Amino acid sequence: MPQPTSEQRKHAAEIVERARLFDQNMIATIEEIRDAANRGSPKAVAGFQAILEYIKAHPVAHETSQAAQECLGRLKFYQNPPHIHLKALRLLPLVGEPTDIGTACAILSRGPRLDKSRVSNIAGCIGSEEGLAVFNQAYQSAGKGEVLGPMSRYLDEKGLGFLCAGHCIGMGSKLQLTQHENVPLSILGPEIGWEHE
Amino acid sequence: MWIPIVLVGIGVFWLLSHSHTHRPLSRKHEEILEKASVSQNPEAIAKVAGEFGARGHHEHARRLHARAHLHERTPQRKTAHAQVMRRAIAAPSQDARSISQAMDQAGMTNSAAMLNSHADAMKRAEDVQPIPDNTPQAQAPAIEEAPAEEAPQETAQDAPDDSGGSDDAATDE
Repeated sequence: MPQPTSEQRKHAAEIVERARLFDQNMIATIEEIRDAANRGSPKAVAGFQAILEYIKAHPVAHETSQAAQECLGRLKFYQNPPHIHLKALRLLPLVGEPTDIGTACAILSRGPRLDKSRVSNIAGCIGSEEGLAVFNQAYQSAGKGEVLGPMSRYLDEKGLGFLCAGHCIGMGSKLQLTQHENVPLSILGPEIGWEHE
Repeated sequence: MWIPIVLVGIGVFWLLSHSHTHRPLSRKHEEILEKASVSQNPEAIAKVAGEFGARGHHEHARRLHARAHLHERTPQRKTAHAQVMRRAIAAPSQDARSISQAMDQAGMTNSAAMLNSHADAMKRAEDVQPIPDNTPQAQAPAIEEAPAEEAPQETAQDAPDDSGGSDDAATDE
């Protein structure tokens, strides 16, 4: 395969960075290079390779907002009381990105065991029946986009907070449960279970 | 006299096969590859693997072939793979990422994708500084306090449903 020249690599960096700023000409240029590469032009193959390499080496940085950092920080301090953890999880969808929710799941999975008593302690801090119903539903359906996605469209900000809390605690619990050999990996999804059947 | 002709023939053959092998996938082929990589139909996956192999995309063909034969692994091998997956979930982000790549090569595309997104989440989680609750109020985020006296009777008693998804397949928010 033709290797990109240093000039092509430099050019690729410039094109990608400008395309990331929604420069329509640069987006069209990338598409042209890709199409030419698909037609077999050696220069375009090398150029497209340079573009792919640059994108891989320089992914778009995700910056966690200060408020989201504080929520995650409170969650990671495992000695904080349950209502502080609940508050942090409820606030997360309002101040963070979807990736921050994944981070919360990872933090919870590495913390103290999310057994029935701990989950009950957190759920016990919920002050409304509606909120508790959303929390329980999200906890039971943790990780199932096909359930949580439609649910989220009908919830206000407050409801989204409970949805996030239920999902994160449910996912944290599932990730912890995978450490037990008697728990099937299908707990993470049927598509993962299929690969380990 | 024959030597130059043979050499030219070898050269032409090499050029043809080489350009064919390394040509990037067309959009249609990328779509087919993507579908086959997560398919749960071994026969269909094997068929696509054969097609990709015939077109010179040997690396993709090899990975699909491995996926098509996942269910033919010995029970010991399956257990070993599951153990590796379990360990990767509890491992530091860098180890989880390496294992994710190995799983991808072995045709376990969904496990690899799950591990990869988990590794990303773990990396971010590792960078988070724990904050105790005694932080001065001025620095704390404004989180609405739930009234403790209204705590309901009902609580989440059961473990989450055991047919969920990955942690980033989350809430669609």
